[in-house]
Amino acid sequence: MSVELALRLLVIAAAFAWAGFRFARLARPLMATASEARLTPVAPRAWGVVINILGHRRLLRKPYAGFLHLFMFFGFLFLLTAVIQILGAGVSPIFDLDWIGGSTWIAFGQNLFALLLLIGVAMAAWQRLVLAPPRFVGSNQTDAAIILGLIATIVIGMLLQNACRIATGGDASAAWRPLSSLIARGLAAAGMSGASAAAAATAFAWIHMLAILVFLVYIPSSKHLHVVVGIPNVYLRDLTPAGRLATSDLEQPRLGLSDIAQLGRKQTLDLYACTECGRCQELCPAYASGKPLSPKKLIMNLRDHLLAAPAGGGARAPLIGGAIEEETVWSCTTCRACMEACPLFIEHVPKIVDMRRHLAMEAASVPEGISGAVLSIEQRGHPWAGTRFSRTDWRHDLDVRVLAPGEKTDVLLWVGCTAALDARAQKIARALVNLLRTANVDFAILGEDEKCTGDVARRTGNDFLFQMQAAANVETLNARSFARIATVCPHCMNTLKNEYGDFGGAYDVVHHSQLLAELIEHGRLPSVADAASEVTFHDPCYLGRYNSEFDAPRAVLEASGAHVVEMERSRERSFCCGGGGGRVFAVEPPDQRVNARRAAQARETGAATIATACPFCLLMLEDGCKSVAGLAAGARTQPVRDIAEILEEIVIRRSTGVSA
Amino acid sequence: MRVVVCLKQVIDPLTPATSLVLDQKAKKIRVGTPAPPVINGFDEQGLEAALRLREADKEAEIVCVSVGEHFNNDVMKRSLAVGADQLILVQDASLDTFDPYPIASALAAVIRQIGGADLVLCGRQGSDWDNALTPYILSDMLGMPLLTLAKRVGVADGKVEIERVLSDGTMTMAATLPAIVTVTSELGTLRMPTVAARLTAARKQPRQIAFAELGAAAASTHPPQVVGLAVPVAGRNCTFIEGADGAAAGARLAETLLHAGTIRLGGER
Repeated sequence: MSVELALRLLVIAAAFAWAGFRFARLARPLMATASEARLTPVAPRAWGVVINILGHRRLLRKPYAGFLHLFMFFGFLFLLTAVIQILGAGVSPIFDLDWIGGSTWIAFGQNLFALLLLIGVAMAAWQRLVLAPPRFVGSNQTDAAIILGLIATIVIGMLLQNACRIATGGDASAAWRPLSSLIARGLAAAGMSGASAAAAATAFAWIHMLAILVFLVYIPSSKHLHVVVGIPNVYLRDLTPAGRLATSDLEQPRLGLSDIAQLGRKQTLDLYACTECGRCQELCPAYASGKPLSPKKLIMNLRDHLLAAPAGGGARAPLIGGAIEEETVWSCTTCRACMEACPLFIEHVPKIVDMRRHLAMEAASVPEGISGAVLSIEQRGHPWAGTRFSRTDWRHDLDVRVLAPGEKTDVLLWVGCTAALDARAQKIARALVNLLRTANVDFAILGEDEKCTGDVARRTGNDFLFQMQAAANVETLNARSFARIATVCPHCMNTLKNEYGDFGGAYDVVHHSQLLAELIEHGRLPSVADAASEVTFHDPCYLGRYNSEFDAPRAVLEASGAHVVEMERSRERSFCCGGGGGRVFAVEPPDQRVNARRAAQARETGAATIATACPFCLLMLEDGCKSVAGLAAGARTQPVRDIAEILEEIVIRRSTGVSA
Repeated sequence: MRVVVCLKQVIDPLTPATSLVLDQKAKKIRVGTPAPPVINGFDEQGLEAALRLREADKEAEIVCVSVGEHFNNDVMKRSLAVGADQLILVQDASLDTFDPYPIASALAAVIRQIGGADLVLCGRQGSDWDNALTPYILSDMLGMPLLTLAKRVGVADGKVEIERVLSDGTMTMAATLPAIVTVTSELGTLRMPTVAARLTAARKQPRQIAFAELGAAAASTHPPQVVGLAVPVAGRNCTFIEGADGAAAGARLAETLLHAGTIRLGGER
């Protein structure tokens, strides 16, 4: 055994041992967690890996960053052959891949993908240094630089090793390595040949191998750990409906998340998977409005907290109030923009809600505005403490049928607390009633028996109260017969549709935008062909991102003779109004108001009207518009209207014969 | 130290007027829809004051006492969920009254029967009739000094010290225990209970004391009478104030508000 071979063996063994130790340190907390049992169903999970990992579906939403990753990903994948070659040769002098084409097509592929990888590295460096998108703020830039440097060293080391070997004149694969051959010709022109080339080949082989080993050892403490955990993280993604939060087991001694060890396995794996790419941060309304929350920093802080070894074997610093501030936990609007953007399907919102569960149910520490709303749900069955209306006042002159137990209707109109109890939002319910009458729909309401669905309670962490609301509402609903439920509010729709299953409530639930679009399509409501005015539509998070309904409200607007102009952030990338996750009741610092930012975005479109399809969004945006208009002296506020109100106006014009 | 907190169960003061039913015969206000009552908000603040006192003195015992015609136990047990050691309820039809005298008399009798109190905390007034008289009568019956409108309550060296809210500031007052203190909204709202405490409280039962056992006076000799009941008419009126420019409109606005009595000139009281 030559001295060099022995040295190589030693270095490889040492590197593997060291890397093994470092990986084991990561694996320990992971294996100690409870598994969420997400291994099946295999087919959709595996297909998700194919389209999201191989296909780069989410990454390619940003073409520049997507393609550079695509180059590096496939380059890295193919160059695994080079890693096998160099490590194989490192432990056995007779190892080669020639029997499967190691010096023919594999050699060619290595040259081709090395080039792609280098292009990818160069693009990544350009992105980090020159383009410097703000999504990287807060990411570990040194780590990124080290990784890019190591990748470049591995690739360049390999190319130079091959070139030097070609320069010795004894490499059979020369014809299959055009790039290395080109470099070899340069080296030959510089006078390198024979022994000096062989020595240089050995030196570059060492550099190549050492860089690979350093990479291997370095990975566990780097964002590049995603090369290992990315695939399992995508495979183990949540396949339940997006709008369904797990139901708390109130019998458990601990409620919510106050200790990092309570995280489930996939939830822990999320922390390892984060690449700090900042796609979540870029879309986060809380971050954009200057609040202390960045979904990226949240995951990074949780990861650092998990891995911070307790000094002297003692207890870790507290999770909430230590690693994560309470204010950060309350800043989230649960809009889900972060989760939709994450290429690796990290689940930010469930972690935040879990921390809120601890705060609400164990620590009883809830911010003022939110606690008042939640208390009101408990005391009065609705969050609007101080409303001057009863739940049925809105329909005083409309004679809407109240469905008594045992009675039957086709559509049960779930009015929701806001549309029933807020003077402005009542107009949505009234418009909807007029439209349903025009379309001859058989419908009824629950009247005083309708109670808050509990959405606000659940998303502010009070699952105890949510479960009481759900049980009461399911009892009310199951005592009556109806074909389906139509809701005014997307939050009610989401909860009734996706979350009441755990409480014995399985219903066919539609949002009013879907019902109206259907009635228009069937010709039961009129449609106006010519576009008369420009309207911009704000996608409610719980209708769009949570329940994938983007087209129905737009169809209703178009039928109302509106030309829909899109805001820069719309559909899946829509920017929350600021009202989700109970934040509609929160006290927002004047300089951190999400609704003012969204109103400004709507104003930029120049549309005459802002349309939406959610009472929370409506109130938030109306309020936001006032403050934005206040800034622009003398400016008039854009009216904010629900799609039902806009359509109703057309229907009234039709019936009264007034032309548009 | 034993702290007694007097709680009154009232109709939710946030009940919309359209849901109220006025019983002109019995001179009672009822809620037309099935809506649960609440603990009088000012009394809840008295309980919050007691809980804060116990944070400083872990030995303090908090006993909540309520007298009334009928109780919603789930509502009243909120006091146990947030940390009261005991809840005592006295139920009698005669205790649903506008007259504060029998209420104070029953409360005083309960406090005597349980062996007295070092400190009695009451809300500044009940949100149902807004008489704000019970604590005064109670202090007379128990022979305890009364300190009112506290936004902060502290106990040290056998004395209670409060910060009393005035229209233009505060006033610090003290009294030797035993004493009665009424608290006001500036003290802050009652804390939220944890789920574990709620579940524990749900299993506890309030202690019921029969009204007859107390020997309390049933009514004043000549109690005040409710003559009639009416829902206040809340009107809205919008006036556009116009002026040549912003400053002129502002001056007109100030003048209008001054005439309406909404604002006063500086120094005028």
